[in-house]
Amino acid sequence: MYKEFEFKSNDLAKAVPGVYGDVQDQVNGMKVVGHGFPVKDAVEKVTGSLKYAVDMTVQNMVHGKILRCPHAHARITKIDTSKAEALAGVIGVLTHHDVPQNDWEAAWFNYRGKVLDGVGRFVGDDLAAVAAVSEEVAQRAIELIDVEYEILAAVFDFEEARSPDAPQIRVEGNERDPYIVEWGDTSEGMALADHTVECDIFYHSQQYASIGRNAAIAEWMGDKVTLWTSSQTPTETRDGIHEALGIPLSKIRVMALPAGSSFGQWWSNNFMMIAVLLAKKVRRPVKIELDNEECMSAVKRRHLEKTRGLMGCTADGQLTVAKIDHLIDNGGYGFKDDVGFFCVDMWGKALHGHYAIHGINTNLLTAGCMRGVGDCTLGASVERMCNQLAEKVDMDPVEFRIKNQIKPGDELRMQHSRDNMHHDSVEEYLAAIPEEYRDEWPKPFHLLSGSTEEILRRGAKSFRWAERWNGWGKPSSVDGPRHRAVGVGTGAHVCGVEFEGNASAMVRLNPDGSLKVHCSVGRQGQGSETTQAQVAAEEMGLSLSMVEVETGDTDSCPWSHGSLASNTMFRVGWATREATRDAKRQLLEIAARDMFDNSDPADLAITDGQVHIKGSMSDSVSISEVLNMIRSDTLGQTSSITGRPAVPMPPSTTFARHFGAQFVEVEVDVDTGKIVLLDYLACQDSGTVINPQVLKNQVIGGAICGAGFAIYEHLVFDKETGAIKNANLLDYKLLRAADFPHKAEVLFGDSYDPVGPFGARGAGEAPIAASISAISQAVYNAIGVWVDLPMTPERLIRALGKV
Amino acid sequence: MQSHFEYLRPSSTKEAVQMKIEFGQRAKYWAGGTDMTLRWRREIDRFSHCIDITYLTGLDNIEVEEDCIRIGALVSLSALERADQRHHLLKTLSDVTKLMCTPQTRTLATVGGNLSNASPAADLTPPFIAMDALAEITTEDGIRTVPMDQFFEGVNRTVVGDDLLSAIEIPLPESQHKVVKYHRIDRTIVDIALVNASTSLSADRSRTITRAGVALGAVAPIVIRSPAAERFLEGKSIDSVSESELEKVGEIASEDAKPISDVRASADYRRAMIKVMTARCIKDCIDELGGTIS
Amino acid sequence: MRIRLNVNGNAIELESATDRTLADVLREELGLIGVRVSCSEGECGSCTILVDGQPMTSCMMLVNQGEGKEILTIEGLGTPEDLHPIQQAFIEEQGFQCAFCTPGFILSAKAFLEENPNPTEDEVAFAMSGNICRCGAYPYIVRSVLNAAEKLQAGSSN
Ligand SMILES: Cc1cc2nc3c(=O)[nH]c(=O)nc-3n(C[C@H](O)[C@H](O)[C@H](O)COP(=O)(O)OP(=O)(O)OC[C@H]3O[C@@H](n4cnc5c(N)ncnc54)[C@H](O)[C@@H]3O)c2cc1C
Repeated sequence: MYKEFEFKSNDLAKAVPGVYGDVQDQVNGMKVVGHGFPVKDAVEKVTGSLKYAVDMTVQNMVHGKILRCPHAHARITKIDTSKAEALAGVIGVLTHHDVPQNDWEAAWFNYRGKVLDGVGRFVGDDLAAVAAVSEEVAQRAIELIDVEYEILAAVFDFEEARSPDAPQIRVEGNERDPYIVEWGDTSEGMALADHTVECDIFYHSQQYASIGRNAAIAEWMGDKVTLWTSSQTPTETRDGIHEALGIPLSKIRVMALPAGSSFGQWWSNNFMMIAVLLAKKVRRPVKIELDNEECMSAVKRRHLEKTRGLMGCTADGQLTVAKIDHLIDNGGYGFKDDVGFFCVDMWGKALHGHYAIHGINTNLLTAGCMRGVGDCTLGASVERMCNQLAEKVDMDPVEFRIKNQIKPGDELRMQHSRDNMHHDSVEEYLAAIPEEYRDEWPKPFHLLSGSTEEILRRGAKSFRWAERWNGWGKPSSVDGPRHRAVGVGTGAHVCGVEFEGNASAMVRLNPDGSLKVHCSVGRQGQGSETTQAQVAAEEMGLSLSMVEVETGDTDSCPWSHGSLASNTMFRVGWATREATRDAKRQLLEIAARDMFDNSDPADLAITDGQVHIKGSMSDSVSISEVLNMIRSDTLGQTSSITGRPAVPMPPSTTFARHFGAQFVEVEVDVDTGKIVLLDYLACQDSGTVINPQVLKNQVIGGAICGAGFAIYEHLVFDKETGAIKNANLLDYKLLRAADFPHKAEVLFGDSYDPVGPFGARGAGEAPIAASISAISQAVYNAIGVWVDLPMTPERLIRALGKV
Repeated sequence: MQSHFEYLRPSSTKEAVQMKIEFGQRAKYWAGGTDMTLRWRREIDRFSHCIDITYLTGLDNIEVEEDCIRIGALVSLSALERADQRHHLLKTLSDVTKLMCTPQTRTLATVGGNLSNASPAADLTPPFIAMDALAEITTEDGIRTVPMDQFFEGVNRTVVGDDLLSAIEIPLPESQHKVVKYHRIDRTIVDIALVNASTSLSADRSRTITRAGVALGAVAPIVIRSPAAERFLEGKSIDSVSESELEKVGEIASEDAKPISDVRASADYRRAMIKVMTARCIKDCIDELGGTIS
Repeated sequence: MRIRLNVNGNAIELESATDRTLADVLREELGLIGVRVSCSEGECGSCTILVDGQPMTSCMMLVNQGEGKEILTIEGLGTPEDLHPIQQAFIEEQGFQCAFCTPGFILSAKAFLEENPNPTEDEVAFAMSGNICRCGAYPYIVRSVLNAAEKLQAGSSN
């Protein structure tokens, strides 16, 4: 029904033979894409003038503070705010009685429900808020609010929470239907297996631990509200306010500001909604600024997770079966249950599979999607079992991966019917694809481009894997208590999803020939304001300095998911390119008619802002000359041209993935349990590299965040109350410069994506998954024992049986 | 709410002590403030007066004499770090400071603050105790001296009271060579020790260990000595200690440890590590003394 | 209380409560937002400033402790038109992502390079460990500081 996708109007596709090409070939002839330009806001960043939400002020603003729940689970029976209101300097108090009882959700799975509903579902949960002339007065007033609680039974263990007798945290129940991915028949897969391995692994919770905190300032003008906050998801935050307050989208403007490292923490958060409601109540602009402890104990975290399952393979290392149950604890409000299916896709060459993922609520801090959600955990479990199978059949881990991991053209296993696809079955889904796109869109549920194979092969060569790898569970050198060994790990993730809607973008070609891109993405350090500009500049034939990007103003940026699910380059970048293409088409039509003698617009091209006949620069005219010609019939356009994507983007979940393969050398002190990372190579397949400097940073940043999770990072929950005991950087350990090999290198794969902008795909999340597995494997090779994460000195020594 | 306080800046040590006596419990000395800021913000300490001692003069010198090294209480960790060339004991202390805090907090943090804060995990305490150092305490009308192993009363409690710790003295016994070594277990490069140990050995010309100091941190409310381990070593030749004896001292020391479990580590792990670190410290000391492990 | 500070070469007199940190006063009273405050406990190093040339976490200093000292914040280092070589080097090597931590790193680097104009990579990594970059730009931060060392060396030999 579907033929292989061919990208019609992309002149580059012709220059690149097959799916693979050389990076150099791809960027050949490209002036902006593929070049490591400094990011657009580099000067603001190094001079300290970039404004994050915590730096924002608006005139006449007052300060808000949030009353936090002291109990794990409690209902407010009485709330008396009179003493707080009487305190000098207090402007007003917001309680659940003032809050519309609407559910808001916005960015899916990080569901909140009601902004405030008089129930606290974890220690630190939002209960009420005060606005006052200063933060200090607001804090004092918080302490003056008298609250009577009905203490409700609480549950912290997500296995206990599954029981029907467990305290129910949400009206929907603690556990909903599992998310299931299955293919073939696992009993057949078992029968085919010569070897099987099992696992039962628990994962502690990682904290986003963002440096930079966050703030929200809300200001009402009549019945319209503006919110300034640091967010990765500007338009979804606007949607959240719309849902929570029930006011029209047209009355809401979100001005998303740059964020400190976010990793998914700052999407749309409940404190932002509180700021909006509090400002409405006190009729003053209100700023709520979170302190570090609040950021670490009252916003979000990665899930606690557990994998139980088995995998099997034949004597020659063909995976035959994967049968896995995976539990994730969503805390008080999240309801995610679809984690990690991209690792399922990556290892989808297993002949038979059944993965069931169970999302469960508990009275712990609510959990949300954090970078590489599920692929860091379920993915690590699958990688460990595959490593154990490879050891049983005595196969090199690189070869085992190449044999069993997905290649272009292979089926994606993530085909389960699901609400997100708005259809009950894959067949229905396929049948619903509009006729006109059937021949154009890539074959659904099949990988279109990229894989781990090329990066594994080239990475192994560059890392000298064959020389350094000494066999399973065998260190490459031993010096007293110090064992050294290498390891390799892989990871995959989507390149954005279309579950909630299609990404869009808008461009405005100004009369001076400069271009403004409007697209809703985050600025949390991933450089999108620059890479989106590179895409637009390349498409329009402009220099990078002529293109600027507005990412945060929802009054001008069309809807997109924002920067999540490794979405930004693939899906928003696609929209930016299509919007630019649309503007260019309009420009060339005017130019062809009025300045090139009614020639065919298809014969025209733009280079460095000059419109010319393809192949000849003589008689060129500048874009601004074209736009400044005043003629009655085109007046509307000659002031500026607006472009938007003219076609919908193919549903990328059904064909696009990005991949990481990483190599590491570790040294383990088997007497103290301390792990030192010695050498690192991170390989990345994200299709065309739009900006190598930016992507290198993304990849290494992912590796470091994964390394932190692998060896130190975990939240400690109080057994009695569920409260977080290490909501500070003294006892929540983050890696520093000397904790990670500073000679770490990045190697890019050569794949080219026919759909993505100039061949690019997503990037941010495969690297974190790959690093966790690489380090785990290296430690196993150093000491001959598998250690559960995080592999702290103590846990390692325990695994060795030394305490 | 963190407390509001009045800021006082004494112009002499004596005035500082007088201020402290005047306000008693309600006043806190503020040196580098790297512990104080945290205690203030987290509302662990409540106080109405802050006595900033950083402007006092004469307390920030390191003096190396024939018979002792004297380190002023206001010597910053970064100043101690830079004193590595002045004496081989200072070289070890310099290495210890490199493990402590961050470069930007070492410039603020003081030696006196590290000791006065009386954290059982403080890094400088074990080496000072192992070296038989003395605390020089300025009182309203003079000076008193207390051995470092009697300086601490409990977590965040010392014998200083309303007086002021003014210096630490490391005695250098005549015609003996004294060395000190330190090990700690930490997680990332910047961390509070999960558990730590320091040993000091003094040897005479006949290569006999005349004095051994073994101090263990984060295994009791205060940093403790292991007298049994010290006795085990004293009288031995620096060329006669065997690998198995190293292990044995480690074991003896770990028996003296009475650790607890907390957010950072479990009691069992701490005890096990005392064994490893004590042995490593002694080995390092013997190496520096030019002895050999048989 | 009236407090006199010397910030980025300017003598400043202001009224402030004494139980405030220097970081808060620099940010809130003087508008120097390049003094980033994140953890407020001396761990992250974002609020690093130079006091008489020494790097210090300003979240752990009382405002009065700035008196009589030369305070340098990122705002006093280079301007967009005339960047300091360290700032230039951070741009060239992209020694940042979100950059919340960057002013702190740059000032740490300045103090470090003044004492160690010709450092090894390991020395740089160690010296840059007083600041946290949660985005994980560390290898590029180390390269930025090495690049800056070269620039400063070249500048001083001219
Ligand atoms: C990021 C960070 C990392 C750290 N890492 C380490 C580490 O690795 N190892 C470690 O041991 N510590 C560490 N600390 C703790 C702290 O920095 C040290 O204990 C430091 O030496 C304290 O010195 P200070 O001058 O800052 O003390 P302050 O905070 O000024 O004072 C500490 C206490 O001592 C009292 N005091 C100070 N001086 C005197 C005096 N002369 N006489 C009587 N009382 C006095 C004060 O009243 C207060 O109770 C760390 C702290 C931070 C913020």
